[in-house]
Amino acid sequence: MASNRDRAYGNDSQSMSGGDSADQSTADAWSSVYNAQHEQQPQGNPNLQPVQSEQGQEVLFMCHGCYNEFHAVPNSEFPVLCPRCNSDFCEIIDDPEDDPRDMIETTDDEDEDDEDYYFHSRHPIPDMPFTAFGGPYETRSERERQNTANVMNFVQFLSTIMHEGQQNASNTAGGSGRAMTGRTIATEDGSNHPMLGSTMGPFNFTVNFGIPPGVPRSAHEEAVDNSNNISPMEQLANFLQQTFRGIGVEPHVGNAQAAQGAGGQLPDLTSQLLGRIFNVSGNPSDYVFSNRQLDQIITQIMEQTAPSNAPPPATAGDISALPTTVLTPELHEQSSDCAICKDQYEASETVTLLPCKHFFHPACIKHWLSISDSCPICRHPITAGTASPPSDNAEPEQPRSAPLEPEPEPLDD
Amino acid sequence: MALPKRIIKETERLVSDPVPGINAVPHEDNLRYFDVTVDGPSQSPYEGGVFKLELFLPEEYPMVAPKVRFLTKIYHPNIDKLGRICLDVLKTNWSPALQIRTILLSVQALLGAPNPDDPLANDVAQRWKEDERAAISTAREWTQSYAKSDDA
Repeated sequence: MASNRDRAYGNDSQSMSGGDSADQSTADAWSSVYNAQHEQQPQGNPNLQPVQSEQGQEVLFMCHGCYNEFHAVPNSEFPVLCPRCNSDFCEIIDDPEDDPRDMIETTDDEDEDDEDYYFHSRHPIPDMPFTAFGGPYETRSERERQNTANVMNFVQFLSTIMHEGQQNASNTAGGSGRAMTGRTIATEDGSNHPMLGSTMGPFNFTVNFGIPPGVPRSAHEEAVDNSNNISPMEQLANFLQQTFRGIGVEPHVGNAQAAQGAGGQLPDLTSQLLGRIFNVSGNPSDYVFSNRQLDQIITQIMEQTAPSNAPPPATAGDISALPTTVLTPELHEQSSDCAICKDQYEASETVTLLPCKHFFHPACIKHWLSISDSCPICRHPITAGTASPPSDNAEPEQPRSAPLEPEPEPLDD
Repeated sequence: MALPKRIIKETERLVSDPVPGINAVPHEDNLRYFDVTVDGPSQSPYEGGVFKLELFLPEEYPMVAPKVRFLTKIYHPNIDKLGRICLDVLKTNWSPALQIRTILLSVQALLGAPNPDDPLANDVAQRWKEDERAAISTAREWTQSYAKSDDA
């Protein structure tokens, strides 16, 4: 059991070699944000200098505070601080026999339910806004903190996904299959993606909670957060709006409808988002995600193809050539209502008479014959019986391919 | 969207002059959607069963056929596991002179006259042809298991 687990981790860390450099870039990004936030504060953290500067000596750390994994250079004088949550409770991951991540998987001392716990450990989303910005979360009630953190986790998860999508759009080499890791924000070669320097980083939307007055904030944060009192739900709504707007102008979307921009296209954009999450190529609405949807499509196809051997429509010429007659008492006795609309005929109403001697409201039978050349009552086609003289038809008409059958007697007597 | 007069008339007649063994009640919030029950015909493996169906009148009705689907599981060569029905009057042989009641009568008749030569459920149809007695026995079992009328 333990060996399996270890092997699994071995594979995992090998397959994540690309992702590790991404982590490093993530760490860079976080640290640059951190430094931007704290440049006026006395206690800078030297360990948060870009770790790429000393290549070959950096090792993998895991933060026990937020389960972040990052590369840093061990330093005997300063404790290594987690670049996300600033915790110094960080452990070097060097011994596969004693991998601290095993502890994460197996311990459950926080009494979280499995799903939350899984999410948390696989998508290490930190409480960064509360700690790194000196937020007063310790003074909040635990429940409130938890609620806010849930929303924040979701927002950050979304923003990471969206960011991933943008990366895929500009980096055609792909990164397929990594969207769900929720942590990859660098290109394959480990170089920082240009987007990291832009305002589209995954941390832009995480800054509005618990920022004490007086903490310096970037201009972008000021722009995002004009009032300090935005609730988590408003925050989420803002985020979604911005994100969808972001998709709307993204070249990856490529269709003019989406490029027209912002509002009113939520279903389309939601499917875009789904597409991002499931990493599908092409238009996500081309996919189905459940058996029921697949069955519906098959049903639709069956319905569309089924009427192929139904009688074809009658031509407009044939329909307009049908005689009309004023309803006589004899006819009225024969049939008192129109079989199509079920309305009673009125005395001396005009009806259309078919070759089979059945009659209907002119509008009703015209509509039906334009769908199918058959009498609604006896299925007799209107063309087989009359074979109206060609001179009556102004428009050129193909002769019926089927040979005319001997005219059957009307069935209505 | 006003409901066509024809649909109102048909609905009224379904209530005032119901077809024996067939019950069709429109939803209050969607008068084009009917909850239907059809009694299994006597002398058939479906005898004693009450089968639930859904019936929907599309926007173009009566120029197109109603959409009808079995909700009760049924072992029948012309009804597949999703409840879709292979019945000519629901497809190519639809005519606007047909109505809800005539369609449901056709469905009921189909229960009494399975047609394994025009199958929708291929496995059922094959069994029906190879060993009709066994197939009928299965149909009877399914009727007992799934189509008993005790409305839970």
